[in-house]
Amino acid sequence: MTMISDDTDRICNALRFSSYFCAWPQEDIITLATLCKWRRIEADTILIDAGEKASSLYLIVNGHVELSYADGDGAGGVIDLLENGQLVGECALAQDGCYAVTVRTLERTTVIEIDGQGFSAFLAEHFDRALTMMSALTERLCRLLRQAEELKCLSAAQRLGIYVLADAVPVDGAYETPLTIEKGVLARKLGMKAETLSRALKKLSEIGVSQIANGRVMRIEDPEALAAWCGLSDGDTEEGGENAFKTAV
Amino acid sequence: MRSRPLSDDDRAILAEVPLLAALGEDRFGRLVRGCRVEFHERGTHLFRAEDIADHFYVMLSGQLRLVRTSAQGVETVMHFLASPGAFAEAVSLAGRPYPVNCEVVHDSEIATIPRESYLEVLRTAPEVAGDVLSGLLEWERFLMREIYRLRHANPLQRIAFFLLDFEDRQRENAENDGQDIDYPEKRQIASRIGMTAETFSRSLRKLENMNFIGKGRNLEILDRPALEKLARSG
Repeated sequence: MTMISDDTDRICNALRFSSYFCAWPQEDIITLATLCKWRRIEADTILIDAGEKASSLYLIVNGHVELSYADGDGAGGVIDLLENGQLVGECALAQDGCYAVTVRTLERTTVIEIDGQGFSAFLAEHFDRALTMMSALTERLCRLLRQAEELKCLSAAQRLGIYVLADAVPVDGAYETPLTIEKGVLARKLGMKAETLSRALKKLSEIGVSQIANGRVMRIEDPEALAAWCGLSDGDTEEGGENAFKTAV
Repeated sequence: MRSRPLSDDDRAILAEVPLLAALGEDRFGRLVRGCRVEFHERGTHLFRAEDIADHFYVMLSGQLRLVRTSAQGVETVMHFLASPGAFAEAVSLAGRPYPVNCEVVHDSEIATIPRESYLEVLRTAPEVAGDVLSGLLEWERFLMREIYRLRHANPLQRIAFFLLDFEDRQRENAENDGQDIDYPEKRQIASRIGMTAETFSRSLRKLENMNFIGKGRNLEILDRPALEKLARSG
């Protein structure tokens, strides 16, 4: 029997609940855990610097990080915000790869740091696991593609509506979404200014979306109507039960 | 559909594709031995969104566009493929449905690689999985750059970025060196860079008045350094 330390134990648990690794057999999770470190990072800390040699991947266990992209001569801006369960720094799997984005913690954040070289060697010996990583990366590409499409085609209020729908849960005959990030951060995540977010919230109030609990929770009276207004198809939201909106989004 | 065997030039293009180069010469040779080049006529579809991606492709010549169609039927151009290179490889390796329609804009020559054949060869060389993943990461960089520009670049910058990138990619193709650049239709470009037709027309007029691009029906860059400066600084 393999003896594992407390740290390895909690890393295994976190990996097992991550969508990237949940289908992996137990022995592979334990092997992967030996390549990992449990790390707590203070708020406003640069975790990854764009352009630097990529040596590690990071799985976010608890907290939020902001991704910034720099184009050409160094001008840059926020392109996304990631939270629990998401992976950054896959460039570390490539030989001599460099990070493409800068990643900064927005709050005290717990991550699992995965050694890139070791992980790459592991994947070279475990073809099926390499395929699951390709699949996870493809999922990420499809998400980025949808994000680009939303930025091209949807208004700020529609993008906010989709964000609110994604995490909505049924409460007392309506749906509610807790806002786990500050409004300024939410605006940056959705690619809009703070004043545009305020206007978008006002617009959504006309479609039955109200702010309760001092603005920390969004209440949706008619999620189907909101989904239709945001351009999600009926078929997408009719199937899938409780997670239908998340699936559709 | 007409088809022909791969020529030496075709093989040279395929050998440059990161996903195929990673296999090494012998495995590459084994994979492409039976490959043929298919001719696809303008106006046809190579694949449609939601079809299972059981192939990936290498465009050898022509022009394609990748289009998303919303639930309401609104079409958005996500990308133009106008120079030789692979596409649909990520969704194919993951065995997922294609996320876009692929339409043939100009008659195109395309080599088709079956997913299963590729995976069969890759299984004999799992040590190159990291290189294959890094090939897919190029698409991640492309999409992150897209999102950055959609969020942070103004309309003039977006047009400048598009014209410069498109010209660069066409010039990479040796056959196009010194020839006029065959830009897509203006309304298609507007869709590609996330602009309404009105904003696009207004912005084009501004660039014409600044003498950065030529006036008239066909797009033409007149002052590349000025356009580059505009793209970088706004």
